[in-house]
Amino acid sequence: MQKNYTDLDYIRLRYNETSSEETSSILNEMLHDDEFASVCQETEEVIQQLDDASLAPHPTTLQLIFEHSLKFHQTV
Amino acid sequence: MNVQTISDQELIRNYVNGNEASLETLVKRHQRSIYTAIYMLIRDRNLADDIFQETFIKIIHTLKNGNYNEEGKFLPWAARVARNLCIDYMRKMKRDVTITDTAGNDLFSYLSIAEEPKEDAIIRHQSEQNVRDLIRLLPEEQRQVLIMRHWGNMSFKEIADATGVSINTALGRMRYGLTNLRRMMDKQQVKILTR
Repeated sequence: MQKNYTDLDYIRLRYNETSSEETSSILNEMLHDDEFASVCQETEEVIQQLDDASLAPHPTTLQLIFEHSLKFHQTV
Repeated sequence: MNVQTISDQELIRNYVNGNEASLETLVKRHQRSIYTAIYMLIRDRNLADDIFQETFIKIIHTLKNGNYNEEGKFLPWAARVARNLCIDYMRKMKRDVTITDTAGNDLFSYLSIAEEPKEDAIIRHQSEQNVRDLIRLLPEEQRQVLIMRHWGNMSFKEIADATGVSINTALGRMRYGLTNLRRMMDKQQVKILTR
């Protein structure tokens, strides 16, 4: 039976919260339903923006963490 | 061995057994997720660095003292440690994070610009900053789910449990968050950078 998937299903798929069976079924739906594929594409574009908006800590912060670990290691 | 093939659990085990390089791999693997989640809550790069450092100091102590038993779910646990520290900080400062103003100018200084023309890099970084600013404008419950799922790597079930709502509500908030973000980006003409 054909299931009508929505962007909610794509979000679950995108965050690896679908079973392998569901994943195949959703991807198949994307191939055969242009409207659904378009909704998924729009959702994907926003999610990619989140990835691009990620930040990293200052290198000094990382250095301090590693130094702390080394000191802690030496004292135990 | 390829670093990507080593699981978090394995890195933790190696680290607890004295391999300091494993901590470095673990931190570098998850730094962006955890740091961005902190920054989204605190909105200050220096403070976010402090809380990130404090998060990993707690993590180091927990691991070295043999108190870690999350069975492979390192990132959600680390994100929870970070989130609790953010909450502690906000309580201490009695600051309402949802209305705090942005600092602004120094936000790009830590980001590396690799092999990219200067103008493109500026546009890209402005666009990325705009996205972060827009996330702050989302309703609290949508912003919370978005940060927890995208950067905190918590499942919708874990988010539902943490926020006292059903999985469907958590999922729905994520959807509205993404939809609203898209709408705001369109309205403010934030360039969608496709890859």
